[in-house]
Amino acid sequence: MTALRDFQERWADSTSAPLRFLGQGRAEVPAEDYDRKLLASILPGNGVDAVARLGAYRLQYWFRLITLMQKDFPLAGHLLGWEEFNPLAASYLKEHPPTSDLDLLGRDFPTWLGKQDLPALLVESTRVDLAWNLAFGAADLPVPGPEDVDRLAAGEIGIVLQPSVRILSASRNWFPLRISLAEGDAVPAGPPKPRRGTFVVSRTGSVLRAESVEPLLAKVLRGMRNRSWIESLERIVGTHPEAEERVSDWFSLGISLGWWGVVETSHRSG
Amino acid sequence: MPRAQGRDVRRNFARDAVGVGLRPPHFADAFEDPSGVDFFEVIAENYTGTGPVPASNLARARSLRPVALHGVSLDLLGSDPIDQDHVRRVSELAANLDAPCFSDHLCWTRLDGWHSHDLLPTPFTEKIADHAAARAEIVQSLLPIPFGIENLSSYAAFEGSTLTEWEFYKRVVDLAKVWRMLDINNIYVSAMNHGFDPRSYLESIDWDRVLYVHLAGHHIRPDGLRIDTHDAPVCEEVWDLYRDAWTLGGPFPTLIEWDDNLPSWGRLVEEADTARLCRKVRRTLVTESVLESAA
Repeated sequence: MTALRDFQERWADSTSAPLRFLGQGRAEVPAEDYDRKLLASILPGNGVDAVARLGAYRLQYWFRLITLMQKDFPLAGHLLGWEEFNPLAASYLKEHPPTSDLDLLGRDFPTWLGKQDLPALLVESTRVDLAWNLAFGAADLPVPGPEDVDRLAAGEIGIVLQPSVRILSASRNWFPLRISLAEGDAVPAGPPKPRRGTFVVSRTGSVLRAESVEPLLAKVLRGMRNRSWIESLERIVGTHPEAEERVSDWFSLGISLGWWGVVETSHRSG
Repeated sequence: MPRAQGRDVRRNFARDAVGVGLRPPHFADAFEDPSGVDFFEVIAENYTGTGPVPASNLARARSLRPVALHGVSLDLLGSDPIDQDHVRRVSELAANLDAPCFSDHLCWTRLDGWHSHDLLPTPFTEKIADHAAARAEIVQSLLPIPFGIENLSSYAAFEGSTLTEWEFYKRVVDLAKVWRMLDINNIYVSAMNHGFDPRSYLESIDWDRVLYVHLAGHHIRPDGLRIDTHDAPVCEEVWDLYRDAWTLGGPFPTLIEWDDNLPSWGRLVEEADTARLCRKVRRTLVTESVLESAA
């Protein structure tokens, strides 16, 4: 089906050509971007010419992707305004075309933005948005319960971080602003006030939370990226003996916020 | 006859059933009061990807009503190989839900790793129809349930076409020995965009191969081009066409799709009720005209 592939290549090139953003929410669909052979093969009719017909697909393609980027990165949109955000998102999408899973569309956006000579605060806001999105889309491990105590003591199972848990350091607590934006609340312009900290994003069911955590707990949780709770604790207590008296509180906090998951020790020891 | 003829495609829901596309924002209300809806349809890709599978929601839906599967990424008109792993994941999901059928569109969606996330047309030729039929046969061979192909709505028609849309559609379904998922709104949108008579399309349908029909709303642009947006109520013209379809081929199950600008659950159920009412109105009119002619 060489002819079919040739047709589809021309189509993909034409309809993924970027729009020209004019400001004030308007965008132009430049006809000179279209493949001439493809354009000539489209029949005009009912007062709608071939340029407008191909343009309908091109507009849909970009509208769908930019709408998803707006939904995934509301903090960046808040800082920049959509007028500036949309062309930036389109430039990113041109370099990172969509794959099969739209949940992954903006996965490289913070890294890409970091290379664009843009304010560090903007890049940080997209890291926060991405952490939130990844927490929402992550899989769930079984949650530990009272019935697991004996198997845990016997070393048959281990406590690990739920895949939804994201740990990040930031110059300010962006999360209340993000929640307000998602709910469509009126919010003041600009970023939140500075308040450096380490934040843990987690999900229980469909409810997302972000909690500021003390530095020692942040170390334990970071250690759990490739270790169990027990293994990570042992390493921290070895260098910070004062952590020992905090263990019970931290574990209870993790239970209440849905941080912990259970795995068989064939997957991970401890 | 279709390959899956040994199975009763009408199992799990009645031939005149009316269902709705079940979307996550409606889960809570739908589970609380599913009355007025005979079956659900869910988008298969939402539950076969790398993200969380809200299995508890689907299991709950299945405990209340039959759940049919609908896809948007099969790429039947594509030139990349069929993603057989995707079809196998759909097959597993179908088994878990005891789904009565799976459907996807007569379109292409991807090329060399680029995904349009749109349902794209090609010229209508015998060669491309035969290509799509061969791919549809592969899909059906991997599925334990009937596979239905949905007709596309389109905004572009091509000089190179040698078949009408309905001839093209029929050729694919016949050669692959699969089923039809007939979208009445799509027929209307394409008919208005390309200037053909939608009733000619309906007259070409072999109704015993229709799994069920889809109805949805669409948008009219200022230049008159109609876009299949699924973000509005079904329009009067499409209800009229639905009545004609019912007269020609009814009874058949019917499903209301509403994907964007979602209404309340109650409003969606009203749309399902309108589908039932449409048939009654038609029957009443027919009865009246028979009585009048007898008098």
